[in-house]
Amino acid sequence: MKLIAIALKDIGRSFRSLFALVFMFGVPVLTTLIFAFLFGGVGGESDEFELPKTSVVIVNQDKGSNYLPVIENQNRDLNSFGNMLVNILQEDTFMNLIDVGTADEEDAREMVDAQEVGLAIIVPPEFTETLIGVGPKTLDLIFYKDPEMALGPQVVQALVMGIVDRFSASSISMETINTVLAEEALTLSDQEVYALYSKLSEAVQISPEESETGMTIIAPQEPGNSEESPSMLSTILREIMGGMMIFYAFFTGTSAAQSILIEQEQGTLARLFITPTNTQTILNGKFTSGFILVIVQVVTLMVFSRLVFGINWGSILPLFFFVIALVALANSFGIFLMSLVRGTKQAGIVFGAGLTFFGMLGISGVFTGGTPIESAFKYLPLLAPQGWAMKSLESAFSNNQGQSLLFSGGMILLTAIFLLIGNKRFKKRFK
Amino acid sequence: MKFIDIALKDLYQIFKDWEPVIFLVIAPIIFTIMFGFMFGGFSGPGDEVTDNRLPVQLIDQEETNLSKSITTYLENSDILRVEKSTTTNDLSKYKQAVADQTIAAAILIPDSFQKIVMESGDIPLEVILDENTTAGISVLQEIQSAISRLQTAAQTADLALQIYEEKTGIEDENERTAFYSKTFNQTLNAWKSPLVTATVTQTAPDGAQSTSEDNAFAHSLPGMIAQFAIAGLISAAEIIVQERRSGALSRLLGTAVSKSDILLGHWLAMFSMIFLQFAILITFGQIFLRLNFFNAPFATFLLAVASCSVIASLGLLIGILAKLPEQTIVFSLIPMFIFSGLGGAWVPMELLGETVRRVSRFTPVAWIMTGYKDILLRGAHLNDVTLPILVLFGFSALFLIPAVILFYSRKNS
Repeated sequence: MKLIAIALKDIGRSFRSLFALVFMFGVPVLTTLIFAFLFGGVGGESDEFELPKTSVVIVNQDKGSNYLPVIENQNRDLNSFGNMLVNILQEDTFMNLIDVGTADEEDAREMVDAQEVGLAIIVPPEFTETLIGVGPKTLDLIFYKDPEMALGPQVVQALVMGIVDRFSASSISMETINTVLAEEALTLSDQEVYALYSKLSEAVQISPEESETGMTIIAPQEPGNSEESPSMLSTILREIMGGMMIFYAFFTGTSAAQSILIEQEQGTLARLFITPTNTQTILNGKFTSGFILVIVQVVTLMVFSRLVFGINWGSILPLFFFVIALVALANSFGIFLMSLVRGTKQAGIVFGAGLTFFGMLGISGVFTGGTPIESAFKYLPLLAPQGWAMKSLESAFSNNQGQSLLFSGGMILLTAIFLLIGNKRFKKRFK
Repeated sequence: MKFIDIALKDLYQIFKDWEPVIFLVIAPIIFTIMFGFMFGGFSGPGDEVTDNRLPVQLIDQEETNLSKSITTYLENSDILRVEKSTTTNDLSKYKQAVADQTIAAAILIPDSFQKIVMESGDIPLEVILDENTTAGISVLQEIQSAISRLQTAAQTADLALQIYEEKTGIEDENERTAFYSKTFNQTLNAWKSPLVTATVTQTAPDGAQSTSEDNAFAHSLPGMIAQFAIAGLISAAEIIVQERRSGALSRLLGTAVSKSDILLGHWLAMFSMIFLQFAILITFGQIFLRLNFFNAPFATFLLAVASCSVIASLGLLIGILAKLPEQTIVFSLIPMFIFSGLGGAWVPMELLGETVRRVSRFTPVAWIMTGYKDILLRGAHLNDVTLPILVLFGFSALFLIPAVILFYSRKNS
């Protein structure tokens, strides 16, 4: 009963501390809330992350060619590939992605420099002639972009080059057919050339969005229910909230263990030792309060983020073991750290430097995923206990139960090591 | 000159421990590098080329000339690093690998591939990828572009075969397939030197309009400097609280030191601490991250002065508002998260919606970043960053005025 009394007293003190509450719940929730707001999940029109429209201005300098037949489209004469490009980009199909306008080159560059538009596309005068094989062999389509933007212009560039590929296709096909037939000593008459060119040109008229490719996209394994595919926003928030939860669970665990040092400095620990309570019971009471605090923190954050942000944490079984292992590891690591320091002053350094460094290293995968340094950070986080927790949680996200349990097992092993050392050092100190 | 003594005393108190160095220098450097890599990393002119392509497993269940030519075509991609796999019967293994982000995607060429291509012109690739990840989106974009070219190759081969059949009257299936494959392959080869190529240009940091690569650190460094300057206020603001709680402030007011000297002294200490941080991190960016702050030294300096002024005024307000030392942590961290998050320090503005962009203009971090990004990315000079500097001084006044009013109106001060 003494153990429970000590634990309850410490828990009560933690829940009365604004500092503890902010670190336990406020900061993880605030960070996730800000990300949700940034990506439109809070207060936005849609629950899904959508790439904002990129404003594009096209400088169409294409002078066309007499060889190109005039094609009518919605009462507009499309006498050059430059005009066709503008026409296709202004179609409704792309209205969610881009806002398209036209201007001359000087104005367009000024608009990009003034950040009125994100990208200017400069179509050179010989565009059509090159595409039908009567002009320069090759030419450059200039994309002049706002240096602050990366993704939007990249998406538009891919889109435009896809359309240009379709324009080029006729010439490339024509040339290839002529070559392969010539290798077989066969030639085409002018009439056959014209008929072939008409067939090839038909493909140009089809919008990229309308064309069938035959490709099938298969989704990878999803957590728990394979029919429930998380949105990009949900994926981002899950990673952020998961990382923050682990990061601050270790703060809570260490903060709980710090109460031993605080009581020691305030003299209340010495007073407790002269009562008929053995050292192990006092220490166990302290450990118990830490365990309960981290359990409350982790469970509250998980339930809150499930209800508010719709985060799917994955299958129950690996998640259950992850939570148990996280609670145990966060507390034992705190006990281990506090057993190494002499007083609260040194503990401050451990909080500021040690936990921040290990925490950031452990959850670095959240920031480096999908980047060129991802492979370097594949195993590096495992140098920190937080890294084991993050790996276990990420494996649970991807429904890799075996791997998640393996990392949770690793966490339990680390817990045993930290507890053994921490407990031994504290008992020695208070002998 | 008493305020200088107060400022020096504060600075001694702040720097007698090495903890502030973590928040002021080490943490922003670590986060700058992390966020920098997250949004593009070290790409710049003169970089050595490293293979940063996205790993993709390719499973060829057919092994025909047609499927091999597609494999070769994809292997030459600038985006995908194709690794051929021999295991063909366990798709779940590849699904798990994509889910675990061990690979960005898996492409399966089914065993009826050649037949479908020749009969319909479709490219029946099966692709396992996660459309909700940036890697998945990049792979999908590249595969769609490749498929468009493969379709052209299929159409070309089909038309060439029709003409060949008409002219020669061949009926032998092997001969037809060989001719089709040959034409298909030649069309794919022709795509290696396309008629039109894309050239991306942007305003270079020296102000010239030339071909230039992005430097993601131009985004992450100013953001992280601003964020951790606010975090660094914790220790400085705590000094004000401790001074009041310990009675040192009352004692100080009993001497010939004026209230304005005390305020100015604390403000100057915070300003100096943050300015030192700016100086160290700007020099770090200039030397190690190839960010050309010194292209516009005057603008860089004045923007730093304006930025430090805002953060010092905020710190003064926090120190005066907080009643307990631990409250300074909460009062510093909350504006740090809100200003940094909404100000665009964590996510580039181009990814954010119109509402967020409008809201961000009400945060000082957004203006600090705007000013520095103009210098680093657009070659801006002093006259180009006048607006951010003025707005930042406005923010400084916004935080300073209530701090002064509160300080003068409190009985114990």
